[in-house]
Amino acid sequence: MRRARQTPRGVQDLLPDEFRQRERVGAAVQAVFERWGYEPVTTPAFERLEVLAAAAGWVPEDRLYTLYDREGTPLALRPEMTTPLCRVAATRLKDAPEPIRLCYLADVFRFEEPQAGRRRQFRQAGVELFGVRGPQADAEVIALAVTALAATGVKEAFFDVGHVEFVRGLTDFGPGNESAAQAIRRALCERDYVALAQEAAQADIGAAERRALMALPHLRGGAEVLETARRLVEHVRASARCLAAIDELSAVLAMLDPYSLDGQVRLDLGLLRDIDYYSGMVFEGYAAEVGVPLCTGGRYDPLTAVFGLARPATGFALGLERILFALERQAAAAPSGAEPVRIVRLVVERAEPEVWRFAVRTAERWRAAGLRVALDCGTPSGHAGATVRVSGVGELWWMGEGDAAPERVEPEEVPLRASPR
Amino acid sequence: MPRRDELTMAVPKDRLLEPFAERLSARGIDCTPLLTSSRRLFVKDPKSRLSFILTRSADVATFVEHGAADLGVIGENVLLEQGKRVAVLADLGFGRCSLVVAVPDGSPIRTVQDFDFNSRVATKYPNITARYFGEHGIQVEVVPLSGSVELAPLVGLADAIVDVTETGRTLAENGLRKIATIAESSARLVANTVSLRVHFARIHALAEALKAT
Repeated sequence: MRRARQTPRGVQDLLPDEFRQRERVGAAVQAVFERWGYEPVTTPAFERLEVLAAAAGWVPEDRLYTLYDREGTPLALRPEMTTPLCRVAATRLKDAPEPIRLCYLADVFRFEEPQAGRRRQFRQAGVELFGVRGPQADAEVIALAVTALAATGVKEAFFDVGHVEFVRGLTDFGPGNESAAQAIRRALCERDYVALAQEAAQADIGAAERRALMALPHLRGGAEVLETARRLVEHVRASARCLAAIDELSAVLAMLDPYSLDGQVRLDLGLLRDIDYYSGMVFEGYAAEVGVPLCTGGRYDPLTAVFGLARPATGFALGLERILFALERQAAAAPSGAEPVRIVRLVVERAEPEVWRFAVRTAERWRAAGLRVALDCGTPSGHAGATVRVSGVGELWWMGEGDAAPERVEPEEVPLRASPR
Repeated sequence: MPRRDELTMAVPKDRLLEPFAERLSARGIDCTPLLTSSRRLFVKDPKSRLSFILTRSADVATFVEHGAADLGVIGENVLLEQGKRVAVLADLGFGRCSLVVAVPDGSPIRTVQDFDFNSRVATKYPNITARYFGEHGIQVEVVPLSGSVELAPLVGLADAIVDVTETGRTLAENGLRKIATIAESSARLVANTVSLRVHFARIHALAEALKAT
């Protein structure tokens, strides 16, 4: 029986062109991060399960690739970078002065249902900003996300911003009404507006709450939405919580104003990521051609405290595979990098010792001059591009692409001929 | 791919198709091609700027979750079973049915509590079934089938079934009686979550127009 030859589901090999394209997108994003003062870091591919479980719910445990080492320690492949970096911020960086600006480009692993743009191993590029509590930090990460995504070549991306405290305030019905609150938050998270209407109708809540909940999916748009929201929550039980969230969002928008973001950032007060550690602003970035978000982020102050050192924290992650998918769907060009120098094939016809010595020395000289040289014996077939045949010591025959017949050349001539025009 | 002006809707080729076509007509959207095209799976209506794709009901949610269709019509029972990540916009009202547990007439099983880990339950909805019995603290052996589920108890493949029923006639005709209702279901209008953001006003208006009055 033949051995299996495919990769496991949800992961794939990348060949040179695909690899280079992904590297270019990653490099473009990293360049933007570094220009905004972020420093690159990395963490191991696997963590102790108990570290990842600290952010319970961030990625559900049934989505983790878990494993045991030989000592029986439960481990898991990292499903995201935020939790590991909170761990780093509380350990190796515990004495670092704030603010701490970290960026990363890393593969993460999730046992998801694979589909367009969703893989089981995928690369995230993201940032964490530790130590700044105010709206300028939230505005900075939003503006940075918009700028970084634009640098990848994705066109017409748009971002929606919300605040978890607004939704939590609207679903704060008081002690004893927790199950109705949970049901409604679940409906909002799952974007089941039919269930939302049903739960809101059934729940033992006031008319003001009901009205506000039904209006929630419509609270989208520009800054005017905040005024509508203010009036809407006036009489709800936890209106103070909602109003505080609106004030924060208003402050974030004000700080975003000077960044030239071209109307790409809008409000969506119904945006909810039902993860306990999000504590304030949340946002997502999209392209119309891709059915899942390209970017997710927000403020998650409580998470660092889990590792013993409380620091305010905000950040985001971009999914590179989804970005590549968007570029493909948009028929947009990925960021251009330097074209790789073409390979020159140096082919030795007969591997006699002196001829071979000459060929190796010649290859070394050309490589030192910056050429990419592949050295072979015999007749390589099927490769496009320039070939240089070594028929004897000092005897080189150049055959360029499209040439009908080879031409005798001196070794010094080849680097000039082989450079891209 | 330039920003589209057209929205694509995945529509199932099952008992939901006709009532949905009626609903569309009632709202002034012409869809006779939907009903008359036997082989064509892709139908455009330029006036309403809607395109329809005809799929199997089990696949509607897949098209919508991927974004290959912006919108879809799907029974709540299928949605519950598949657990796909789509936005649920409206209860369309038609396609009402119940998801029930049924046993053969002569069966000693009277209530759900009479099941035990030896009981075999045949169904097209293994996830819903496992979840339902799990919630009642009972572990049963679930036998997934893709159709003709009513046959299973008759030929000794299962002790009970979980299936949808509208009038109860099919159950009765196959010597089965309902002992519990798991859920009521009707057709839903669903949307891809990103399409919903891109075309919010238009999709919302469409949902309002199409929902059950």
